[in-house]
Amino acid sequence: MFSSPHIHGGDSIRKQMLTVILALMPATFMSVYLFGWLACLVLTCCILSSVLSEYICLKLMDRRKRSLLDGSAALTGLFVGLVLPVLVPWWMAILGSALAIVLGKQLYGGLGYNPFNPALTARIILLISFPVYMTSWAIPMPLEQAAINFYDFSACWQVFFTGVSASAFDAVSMATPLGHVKTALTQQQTVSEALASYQYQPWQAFIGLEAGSLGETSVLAILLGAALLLGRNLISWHIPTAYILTVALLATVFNLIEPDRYAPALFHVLAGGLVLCAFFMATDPVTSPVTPIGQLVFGIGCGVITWCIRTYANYPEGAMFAVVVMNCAVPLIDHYCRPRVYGR
Amino acid sequence: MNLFDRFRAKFHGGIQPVEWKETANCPIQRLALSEQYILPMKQHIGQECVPLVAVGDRVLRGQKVARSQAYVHAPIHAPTSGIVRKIADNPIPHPSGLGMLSLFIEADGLDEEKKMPCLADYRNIDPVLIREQVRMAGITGLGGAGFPAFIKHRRDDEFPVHTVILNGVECEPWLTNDHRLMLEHGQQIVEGLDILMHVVGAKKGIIAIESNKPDAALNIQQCIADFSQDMEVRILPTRYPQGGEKQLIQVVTGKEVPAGKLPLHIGVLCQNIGTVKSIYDAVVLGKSLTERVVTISGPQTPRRGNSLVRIGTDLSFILSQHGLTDLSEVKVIHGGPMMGELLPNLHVPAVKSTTGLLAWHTAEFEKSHEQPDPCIHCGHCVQVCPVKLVPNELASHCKHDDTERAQAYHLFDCIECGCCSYVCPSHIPLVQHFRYAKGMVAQQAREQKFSEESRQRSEAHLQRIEKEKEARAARRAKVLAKQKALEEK
Amino acid sequence: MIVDVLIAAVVVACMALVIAGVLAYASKKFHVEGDPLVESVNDLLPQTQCGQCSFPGCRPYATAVVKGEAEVNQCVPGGDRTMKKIADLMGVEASQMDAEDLGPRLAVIREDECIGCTLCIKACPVDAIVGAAKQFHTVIADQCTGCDLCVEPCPVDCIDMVEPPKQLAQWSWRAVRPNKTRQKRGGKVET
Ligand code: SF4
Ligand code: SF4
Ligand code: SF4
Repeated sequence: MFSSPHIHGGDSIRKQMLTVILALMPATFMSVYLFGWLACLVLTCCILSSVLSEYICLKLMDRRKRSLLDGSAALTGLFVGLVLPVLVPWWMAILGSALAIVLGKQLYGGLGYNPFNPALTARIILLISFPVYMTSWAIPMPLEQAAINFYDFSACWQVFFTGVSASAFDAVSMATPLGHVKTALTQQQTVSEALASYQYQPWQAFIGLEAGSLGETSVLAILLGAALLLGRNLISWHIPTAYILTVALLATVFNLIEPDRYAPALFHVLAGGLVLCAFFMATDPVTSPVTPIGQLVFGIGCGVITWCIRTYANYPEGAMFAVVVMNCAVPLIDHYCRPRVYGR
Repeated sequence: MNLFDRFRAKFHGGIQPVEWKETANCPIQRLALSEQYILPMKQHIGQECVPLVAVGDRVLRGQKVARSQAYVHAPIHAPTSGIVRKIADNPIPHPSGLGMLSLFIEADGLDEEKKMPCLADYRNIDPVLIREQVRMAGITGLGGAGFPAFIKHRRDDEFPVHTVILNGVECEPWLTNDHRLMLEHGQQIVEGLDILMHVVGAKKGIIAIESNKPDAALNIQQCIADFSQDMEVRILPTRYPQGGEKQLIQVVTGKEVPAGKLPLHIGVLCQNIGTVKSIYDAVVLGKSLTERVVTISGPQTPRRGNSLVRIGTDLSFILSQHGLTDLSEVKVIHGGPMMGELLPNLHVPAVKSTTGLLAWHTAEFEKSHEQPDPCIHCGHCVQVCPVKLVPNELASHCKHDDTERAQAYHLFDCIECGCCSYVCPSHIPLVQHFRYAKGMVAQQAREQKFSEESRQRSEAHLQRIEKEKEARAARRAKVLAKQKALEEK
Repeated sequence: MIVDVLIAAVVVACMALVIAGVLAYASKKFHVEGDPLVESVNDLLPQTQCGQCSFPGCRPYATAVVKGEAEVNQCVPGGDRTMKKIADLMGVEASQMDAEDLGPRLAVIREDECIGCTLCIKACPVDAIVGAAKQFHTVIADQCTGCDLCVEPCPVDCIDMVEPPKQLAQWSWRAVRPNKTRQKRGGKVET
């Protein structure tokens, strides 16, 4: 007994996942451009271990294997890779992916049931457990100071499996803009002094020539992918717009009040994982609201929390925390932000 | 669609399925007479009819053969002349495959007709009489729902109807019967509109046609020219489910029908093209509703087309007339693909609400009903729902049998248009969830009522027994007293 | 140091006292009378009056449940759903049904065999059987609760309990079958 409708639009989870993977390609290529073979190694390792963890979980829990083929595990793996710093050792890449799949997804019942974004959950756990590894950022290859030749496969192989020696560490790493500004502010410098000492250039941040996680630095690459998602109606404009505008608005207002203490809007928007989170993480369908008003509320909430963490908390970057915190509120938001029903 | 269209009033959401309107060029053809016609006693929303004829009676085409005492019903007429052979239960075109009391008429091939008086000069006739004629003709909404038409034609001083909207949208894929009617019977349709405007006293008439039927729009436009009344053809961008009454009213007037109210309450009467054509037939020609146009199509049908079918014709006979004789690997949908129903049995009669018959190959049909995956909250269903429900949440309440929550999420406002199921990437049969929950609510109400009645009956029973006991005790006491008295003597 | 500990202890003790007071007051104020509970449990029961719960009718069973003299799972016609509702109301764990739920039943008298003894009329708790003495009796299908009580008294065994005929007006769509049953490892594929 089949109920109407008897035709279907042809959309499927698999198609959606593959499209998102496609949309991540610009960011992925950018990360390969910035970090060469090492980026390849980290991403491959993450994807493979994700798929493997998914398979083991499905097998152990006796769930349907079909969901292995829908591409969601590979996508999660790719996401995990893109939010990790490039200098993570191999075991952390594997651990991160396994955490994302097992803790972030399968323990809640698999795809569609997880309350938190799996990739961000994994990253937060790693950040709290291994703060040193998770906050050491390599100098990207296109910059002159780069100390490791990321385009040399054997060098990368070695770094990936044995790590960088403690003595060489300072030479290969630099701070992210957010981190740099945060440290400078604690040392009583003003924002403009801090930016000057970092030699901060907005266009560099836009293209992605700065330190940061693999996929988050290049706003340009992310926007290219986001255009695809928006065009295919895989995400709606509500969350990213509300999110970014809120951060920009807060930053502008406070920057106007006290320019020495609060960074300007452009810096906030281009820095760190904000744009990646706004377009790819906060919009993750499973963990975001479905109603338009709910999506706006969600985006605004993310924006406020991100800005607050960046400005007042100990962590320089708050986007991932913001998204995960707002994830908790999604059922509530969806319940209260239902649209007005026709004729009521 | 020009730029102006985009800024016009619009209903929320909706989809644009592939149209498949390949029968749009097939003129309406009269189907051959069959040997037997079966008339189920309920082809409308409302009370079931009871037969007025007995086995062995001869009936004429257009003769009323069944009716009900209730207000909300539509009488049923014999589709051809012949003998009533049987009055028995017979399946109807319904997904359950269940049936109801039906009249079996064996055609005698003479097709003698009995007509009602013609009211050709309708503009000078009391609207009440015209409405009565429409009622006697057994006309129901032919768009699929089957609501008795005359009920909507009431003149109500409190809610005067100012606009009559003819629904020529026909947004369901595959179906083209209204399209053909507008092309071939434009004059009658416009005259039907005129009748309706007279009946309800409306000043304005609008014929809404989707932009994928420019030829029909053109034809109607030309027909309008002959009338002095204020009539207008409104071309709407193609979008499903624009043909839903409430959605169409929203698009055309910019107003929403308040929940629990009728279009009448905002001064609108909305009627389907096929219905208007049969209103014309009834009023001007004096013909009762005994036939309708049906689109016979679908990938598996060899000769697709639009047929003028007598009500009560066996569906398998109709299909065989269109070249589909081997029914073993075929699934047939009764109605359009979005809101029509899969028929478990094809030896059922065509009824007043039979808009189309679409045949699919079984394998191909099952492809569009894939195994569901879990909901990934993509929100596409929310985007397309014309009623602005939150289908995914609603479905999860339905799934967990939480009827109270589901009703708080406005389960009963869902029009079952199917947009949400159509776009769902997880292939979740959302509409089936809603139907299940609606059925469950109804069943719970029935059970509640039954248990309440049972309790009353049981109390009455206990009381009766109590009384009987008392009576017996009293009798006994009397007898004893008598005995005692005797003994004492 | 000691002072701190003391302060903490005193504060906690005070809080406990206050809360206890509030709770005690609330339990007095919002006390649920015993009888409405019987009433509400009775409302949940199907009113079949069949006695399959081993009580002489629905209300006695409801009383027994409220008094704690009976389990919540004894009403056979009510089935799983009723059991869950009662368990919910009473705030106890729902358990397994005692007997298998056969679904709705309907008594039918084979009229040619009926001798008109009126015994079944007396047995029917809802007066759903009609007929005069010495003439055959009939069950009013719309009123029969399917309680089985008339079967036993019939001296010629002419009453059958059957599945009520399916009616269009009572038909409804089935629940969407959960996916697992179809794809379970090694399990049969259901259709
Ligand atoms: S379209 Fe399907 S998967 Fe998406 S939210 Fe609605 S029910 Fe869930
Ligand atoms: S079937 Fe119901 S819930 Fe789904 S889109 Fe249509 S009205 Fe909305
Ligand atoms: S088993 Fe249920 S229906 Fe029968 S008497 Fe007991 S409570 Fe009532």
